Amino acid sequence: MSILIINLKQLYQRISLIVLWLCFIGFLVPIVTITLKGSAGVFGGVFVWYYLFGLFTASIPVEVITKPFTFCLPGHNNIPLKFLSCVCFSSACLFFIIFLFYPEENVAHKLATAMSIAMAGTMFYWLGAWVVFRFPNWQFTIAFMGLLGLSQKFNIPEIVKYIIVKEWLAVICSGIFVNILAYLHWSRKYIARKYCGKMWLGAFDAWNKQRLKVYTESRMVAKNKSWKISPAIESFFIKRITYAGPNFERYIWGSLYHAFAIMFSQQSQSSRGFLIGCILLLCLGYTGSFTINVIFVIPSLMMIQAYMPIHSPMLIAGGRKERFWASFATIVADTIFVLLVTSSFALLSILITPIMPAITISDRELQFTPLDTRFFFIPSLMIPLMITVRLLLHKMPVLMMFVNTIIFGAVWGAVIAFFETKRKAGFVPYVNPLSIMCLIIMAWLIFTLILRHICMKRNLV
Amino acid sequence: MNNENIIVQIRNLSKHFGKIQALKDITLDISRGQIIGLLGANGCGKSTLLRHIIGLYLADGGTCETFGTDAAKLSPVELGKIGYVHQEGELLGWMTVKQLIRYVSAYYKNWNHHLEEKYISDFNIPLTKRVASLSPGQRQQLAILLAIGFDPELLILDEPASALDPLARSRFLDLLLQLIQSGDRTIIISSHILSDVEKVIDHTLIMKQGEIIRDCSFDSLREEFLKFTITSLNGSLPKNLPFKNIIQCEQNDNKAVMIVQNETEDNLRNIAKNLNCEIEIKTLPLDDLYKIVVCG
Repeated sequence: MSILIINLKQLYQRISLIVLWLCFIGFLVPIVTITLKGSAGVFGGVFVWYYLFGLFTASIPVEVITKPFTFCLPGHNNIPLKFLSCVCFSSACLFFIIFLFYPEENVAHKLATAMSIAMAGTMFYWLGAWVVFRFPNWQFTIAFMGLLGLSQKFNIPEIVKYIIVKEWLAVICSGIFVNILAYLHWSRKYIARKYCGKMWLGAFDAWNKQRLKVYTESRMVAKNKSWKISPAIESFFIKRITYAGPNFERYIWGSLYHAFAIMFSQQSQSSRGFLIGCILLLCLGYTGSFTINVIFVIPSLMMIQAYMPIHSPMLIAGGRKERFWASFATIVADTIFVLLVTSSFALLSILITPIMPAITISDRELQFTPLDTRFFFIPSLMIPLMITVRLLLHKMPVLMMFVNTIIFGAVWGAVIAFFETKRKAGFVPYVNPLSIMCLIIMAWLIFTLILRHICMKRNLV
Repeated sequence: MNNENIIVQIRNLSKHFGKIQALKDITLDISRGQIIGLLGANGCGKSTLLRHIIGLYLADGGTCETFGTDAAKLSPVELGKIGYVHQEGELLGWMTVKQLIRYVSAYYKNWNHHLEEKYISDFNIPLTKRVASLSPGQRQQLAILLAIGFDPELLILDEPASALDPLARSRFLDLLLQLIQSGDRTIIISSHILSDVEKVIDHTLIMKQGEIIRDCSFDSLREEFLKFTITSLNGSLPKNLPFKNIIQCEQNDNKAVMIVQNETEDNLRNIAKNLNCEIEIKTLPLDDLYKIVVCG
């Protein structure tokens, strides 16, 4: 059996990948439906599909090529190219066939459009693949997909449609050019040697705590100078651990030290994060209506990997009770921190709204919309729920990711529903402070009970 | 044995991981001052047993008490008497060595700064380096320091020397001997480097497939199996030698090398004298004893 075949076998051998491919196939259904209607939005959909497909397809060969042993495998240098090309060619054929049904005037136009979209798609596919091979933590690029919400406002779907349908020759030529570039890029002589033994994140490693820890540590070693705990922060926590009372206080301070020491020490990183947040705020503010409120949701999603001293085999003299209280206190502190950050952005958005000018793009006037402060509670609801899922499924990261995505979808769906219902009916009967309060209390109660059960009644390794 | 002296008491302990039974009905007492070698093949349940003793695992059946308390309910007071070096070597990689030592020592009022300084200079541990950038051997040295820095009453070493180079291993053994000599500390060492283990232990626990197949003092294990060579002084040896309880035998015309079980040296010498043979008796190294006990 050739090495290429062994690599391709991964496509159907891993359950997580089968689920992923089913998702990709699932997204093909609306694409086909919209194609048949001839809607302009389909082109953007195809590019997003292709980009994500490129990301996840490339994550397989990169996972293999970064293993320490692969360098020794005969002929492995060409495997990423062969693997990616196989999948790229198959998907391009698929989209060529789908777009033969795109409503065009004549057969020649149909063929040109189908060829054009297939070629343009491969460009996004190779872009996804390049991102994976370029950035060890390539998953972060998925977060930028949120900015696609802006495309409607800027009339991008129509522009894309015009380019694909009318400028098909230029698109096909560009596609061929990019494919040649991709060929040259992945057929480099020492590609296997370059990646051998490197620390890279796989398709689902963003939810694998252990793997993330190893990755973060390897990054810290690489950037030894920039990742340092400030002596003031260290001394603040160490003093409190040393002189804390005999109860749980010491362990709570210890856990908070873990959770916040690096974050509070990195002023440059923190200011960079604040700057990115401000840019996101400005961009999302002009998308109109509810989209900007995603700022309340995203930080909660990021807290899934928050530190909790439960499953550590490193023995400091803390028993199960201490682990429970330290974990609980850390998550409370994390939630307060997220609430403070998101509320600050909300306040900032309200303060700048009067001075933000209206922007006119493609004859559309865009007004800046501030964050809706009524959603400030979202982190306090989402964080305990997502951490509960993590506690229950900590040995099954893919399932954990799946369930947490559902929670994310449900919360975001509720936000959208709130706006839509309000617009239509002017009144949302069941969304009131009391029901929200009950939900938050329930979420924290469930989290506390599960956390206590795991700390007291489960294995801690 | 005096009950006050027993610091770990395990009764009918069993543990499953799915369909795999990791521990089968283990009953065991560990007394103060014992230096125990916990031996066994990979996956035989050594680490699982140790993790029960410190309360990281919960038993499916039976009980495990450490310092008289149910191991699952150990408080900081009892855990403050236990030092543990685990085979995963998981330390806080984002801290520097100095920061990690400061962090761990903050939890213990009785942290031995003198020992810390001596250990750091003996093992040449780089204080300013980030823990994540240490070699596996250096990490292990650091883990050992963190486990012994507060003079624990019970020291549990799960594969402590697996990543150490020969020189560091020798220094580690010296340190261990010093620890043993200073006070009635109890030490449990799980290791595959038996030549090292045998220099320090006084008690052996041998595990096989989740069961303890031997729980005895190291001396009695050594006395149980004897290896001897007999050489005939007048021609060839008889084909059927009159020794009992033979475990292994390699024989040629005038010489035989044998391992016997439960035989006294005097008895062997008498038989050799009757056969007009010269006899040389040796005790077996732990390596060979382990093979005999585990493989039969």
